Amino acid sequence: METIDITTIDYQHYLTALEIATIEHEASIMETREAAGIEALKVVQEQRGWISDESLYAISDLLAIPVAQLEGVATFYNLIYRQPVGENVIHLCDSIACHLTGLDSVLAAIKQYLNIDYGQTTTDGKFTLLSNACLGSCDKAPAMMIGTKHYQHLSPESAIDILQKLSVTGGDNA
Amino acid sequence: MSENKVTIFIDDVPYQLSTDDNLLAGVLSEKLNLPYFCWHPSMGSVGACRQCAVTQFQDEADQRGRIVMACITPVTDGMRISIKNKAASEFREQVIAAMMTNHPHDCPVCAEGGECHLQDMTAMTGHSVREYQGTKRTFNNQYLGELVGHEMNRCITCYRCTRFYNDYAGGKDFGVYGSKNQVYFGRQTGGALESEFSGNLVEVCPTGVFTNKVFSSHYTRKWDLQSAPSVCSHCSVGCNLSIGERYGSVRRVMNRYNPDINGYFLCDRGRYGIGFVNGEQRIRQTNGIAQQSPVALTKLDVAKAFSHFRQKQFIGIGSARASLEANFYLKNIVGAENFSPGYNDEEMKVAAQHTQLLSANKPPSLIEIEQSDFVFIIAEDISQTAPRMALSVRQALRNAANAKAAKIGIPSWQDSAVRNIGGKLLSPLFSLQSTTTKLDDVAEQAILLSVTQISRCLAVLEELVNHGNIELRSIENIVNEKSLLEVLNNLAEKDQLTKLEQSFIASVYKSLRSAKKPLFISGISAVSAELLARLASVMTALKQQQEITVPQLIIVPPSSNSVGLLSIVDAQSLSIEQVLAQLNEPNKAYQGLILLEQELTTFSNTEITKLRSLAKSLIVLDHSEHRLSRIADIVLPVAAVSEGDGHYVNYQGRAQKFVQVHPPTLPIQESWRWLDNIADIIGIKVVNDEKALDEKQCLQSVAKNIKCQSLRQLHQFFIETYPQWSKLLIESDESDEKITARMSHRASGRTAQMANISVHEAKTTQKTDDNFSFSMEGRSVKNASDMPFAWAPGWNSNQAISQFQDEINGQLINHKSAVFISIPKTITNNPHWQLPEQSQSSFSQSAESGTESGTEKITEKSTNMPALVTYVQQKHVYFSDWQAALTPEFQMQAQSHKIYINADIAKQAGVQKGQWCHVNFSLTNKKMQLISQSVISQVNIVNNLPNSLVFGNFALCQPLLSTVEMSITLASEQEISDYLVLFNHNILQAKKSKKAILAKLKEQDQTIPIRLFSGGLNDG
Repeated sequence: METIDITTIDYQHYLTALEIATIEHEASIMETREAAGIEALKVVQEQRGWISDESLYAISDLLAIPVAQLEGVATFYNLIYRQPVGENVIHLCDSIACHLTGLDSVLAAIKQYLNIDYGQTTTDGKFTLLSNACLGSCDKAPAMMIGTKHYQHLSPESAIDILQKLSVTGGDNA
Repeated sequence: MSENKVTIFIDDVPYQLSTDDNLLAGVLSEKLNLPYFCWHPSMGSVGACRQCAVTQFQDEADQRGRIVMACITPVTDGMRISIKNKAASEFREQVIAAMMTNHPHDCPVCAEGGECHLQDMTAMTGHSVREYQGTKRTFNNQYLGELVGHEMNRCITCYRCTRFYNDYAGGKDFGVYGSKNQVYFGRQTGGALESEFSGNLVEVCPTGVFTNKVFSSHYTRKWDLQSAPSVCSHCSVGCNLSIGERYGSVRRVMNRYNPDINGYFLCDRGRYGIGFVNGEQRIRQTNGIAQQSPVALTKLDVAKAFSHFRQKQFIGIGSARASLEANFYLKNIVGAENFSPGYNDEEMKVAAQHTQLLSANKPPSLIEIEQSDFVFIIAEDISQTAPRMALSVRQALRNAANAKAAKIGIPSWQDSAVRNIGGKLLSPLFSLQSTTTKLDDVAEQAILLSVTQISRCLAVLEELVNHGNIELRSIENIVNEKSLLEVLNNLAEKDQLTKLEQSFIASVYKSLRSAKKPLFISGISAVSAELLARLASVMTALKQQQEITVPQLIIVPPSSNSVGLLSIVDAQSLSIEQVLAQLNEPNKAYQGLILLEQELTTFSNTEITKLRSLAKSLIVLDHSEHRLSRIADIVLPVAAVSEGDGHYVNYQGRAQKFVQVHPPTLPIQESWRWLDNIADIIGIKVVNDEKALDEKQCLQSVAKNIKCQSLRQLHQFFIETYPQWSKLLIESDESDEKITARMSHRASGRTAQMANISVHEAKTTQKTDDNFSFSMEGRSVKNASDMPFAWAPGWNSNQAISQFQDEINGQLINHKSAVFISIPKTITNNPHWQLPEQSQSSFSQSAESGTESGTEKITEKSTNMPALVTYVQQKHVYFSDWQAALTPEFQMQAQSHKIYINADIAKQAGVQKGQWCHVNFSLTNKKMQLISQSVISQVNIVNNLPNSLVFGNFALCQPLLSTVEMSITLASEQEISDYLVLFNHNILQAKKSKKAILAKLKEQDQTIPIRLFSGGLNDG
């Protein structure tokens, strides 16, 4: 694997003007510059789909945060992706309520339909499947989240139906 | 320590606990067993691990109580808690059980095994059965450099590592990643840890995630180590160490608690710099002495070899890394008028100034530094030259946040709460340096100037203190920035201070006025007597007015015994220049030189050659090879710090004894023993003519007086000669009459120790110079004032220390009060080392002496290349100490050459950040190039660096350390690749050296040297 020389990544060469402006705005309304770290990660991810090492180093350069600290933020939140993901990221709820109400069959159906396992992306780049600790929909379990949308009371059939529709429309990332 | 004690009931037994600390600290102070992980006596509480649960009851009637975490519970009067209560003890057991679900139980292959806090705590909670059947999470480990090993699977997520590395020590390249059950502690990508304090992770981590990589490579369990209380030999702070040895080789260094100095932490130079003791450069045999018997060198051999020096006069050069005893002895053998501390003329002037500053200002200890609310560091990069002190300065800067928290009732031990409320609030630190330093990130203001400019700033500060008060009081508004600057501007006009310098001095002055416990730190790295004289004037000015609290002052010298050496330098002592002149003097008829652990680092090769040609005989006493040992007539191998006893005197004048960890293999002996072997031969040449009636008789009587079998006799001799020393030496010899064991009770059975050779029990070596036995026999460590190691029943790790403190963070139960030596000021009587009287007001041109001459004339106008610059070499935690730099692990982490210049110079030279350049430094005189040096290095650009100042991490030869011409051109591909080939070759050599040392040590492990007495040559 090629190693990246952290010192040579200059944010001005790597980030777009729009990204820099948006991040600078976020930094300006925070008490300290480093507090804008999470917003900066969201801004760049919105533009690029995920946070590459280069993006991480560029943001750390821009906000003058140690890269180790920013990586801590990036890896703590499950909605910041540190690996390339598909157009639609399926966050399938993995909590007790979902397990009690049929998560196993929904998961099996999704895995079979997409031919991927947790943490993988379909070969056409449309879907990535991730587990999620709890989506807070225990009364409407099983549940999943794709993009900004929650899907509840899932059954194997309804889940596949949703994925079929998304693969045609492209979801809210398209 | 604390007077706010209240009565609380622990399991219905009343105890007196302090309300200044939390309940856990109180419980531990009472030597009760309560397990914990995330709490640390020096880092406070965060309540993360849930391990120190106790049951708290409302009142006497309450039988049920509620579970609270002791570390985040304040101590209140009359509170009732239970440790033994079933609910709390079951809770603690279950917390451990949960942590253990991911712990690999790999204790047999873990370097922490046998001294693991996690093992201790697990046993303490009674969690002895493994019920979890599932899989365990696994991680990839990182390469963290040559010093610290990484094994993340063992992690129990207590967060201590990041709290130390980032929060306490200000590290930037370490973090916590992930969440839930997948939390990872390490760097963003693999690579050597950048902090000077990385080695503390080994002790801070309660289990084996971070281990001492150097120790692991030649490993032994703690219970097989032989340890002794020692003192660090690598800088002037004098941190207390516990050095561990087995089979004649030093294995590791651990922190030895001393609440006044190092507390719980060491720097990496102190922890790993001991590598030189086992190094390939070690001198293990004599050179220039014919040995009669093939078995051993005898005293007779030595006497024969030295016989032709009988009654010949030698000049003795002592050193700041040799023990006080050895330096004393040398001075006595050669006579005061023939003794040199190895300083050049300028360093002698510095020594004179340093002596005066030391006697006028008592330097604070590290714990006192941590109380400061204002720190001003002047021309000394303590983050590299006295790293442990820099760590204390970092803690001092938190006092502003502590005060803010205290206002709303949050005690300082509530670590995360105080950090939250404090945010980025720091007490003021001002830094006036010639290179960037690792404390710049926490400085309110840090500016870069040459030493001459720094002296000038101090002169203006002095005037501001002298006159500013009057003028400002009349203006009656010190807070008014404008008026302050106006006054300053008037004062600074004649000194031509830039706006930046003026505003810096204004801020220092303003901040100083409101400080209650101000502290100034400077040092002698810049080798400028002028600077110290300026500082002395500032201090005098401050003492003469009432508006400002007089700051405490620390002068940081470079070596472990610099101040000790200072104490024996007198008006007759010679500088190196004088030594050369004396040798050249035909009517003096010197036989030659005795160099005591002195490598004369600052000497150029030409000067070394000159020295060699002038000295008829050159006798070198040292532990490792250097330029002088290679050309000496006689080389005597001396004991390193772990192999002998003696005293070092730290920057404060605090004399501390280091105890022999193991006897060295003969003919290696302590320096003073070698001197003793030759004392009666070369002896003192009596100078006082009146008394020198019979020279021979005198010689004999001196020799008879001086002859010593043991360190105690040597001390006795000193006490007769220097009465001011009696207190120190008598105490160190006699306060502990009883013998303490160097080995722990659990050292493998004595017959098993050498079972690979013989199962017969060998006689242990008899001690001679201290009160520690080379065995496990002796009283418990607890009763000794200097504990060789920390161990208590149930507490196998170094955290056992809480069992030996009178209360948490307090003194050790049997501590001896520190002994400070007084520094005689006789050196200042020598007019050679006095500075010309300073003109009262302004900075005079004549004051610019020595290496700085001419800097004044360089203005920022010099735009044409080559630029006139002053080069300053950055200090480095690994390499700024000659002994520590011999450690192969340090050499393996050497950095390639870097030069730091400002943007203007870079622009003129057409070079950019990161580019490899060919930098040429040359000294010209009347258009003749006298000397020049070229360096291939990588460019770094530093803002606010004056045009006349550059710095880098490489050494230039001595004459070029003045104002020189510098030209920078881009290096050719060939030059870069040649340089990198050489650089990589050096790294490779260090790797090979490490491998060779290990192979040799492991072979040596099979043949244990046994000596019946540790008493020098002919000791049987």
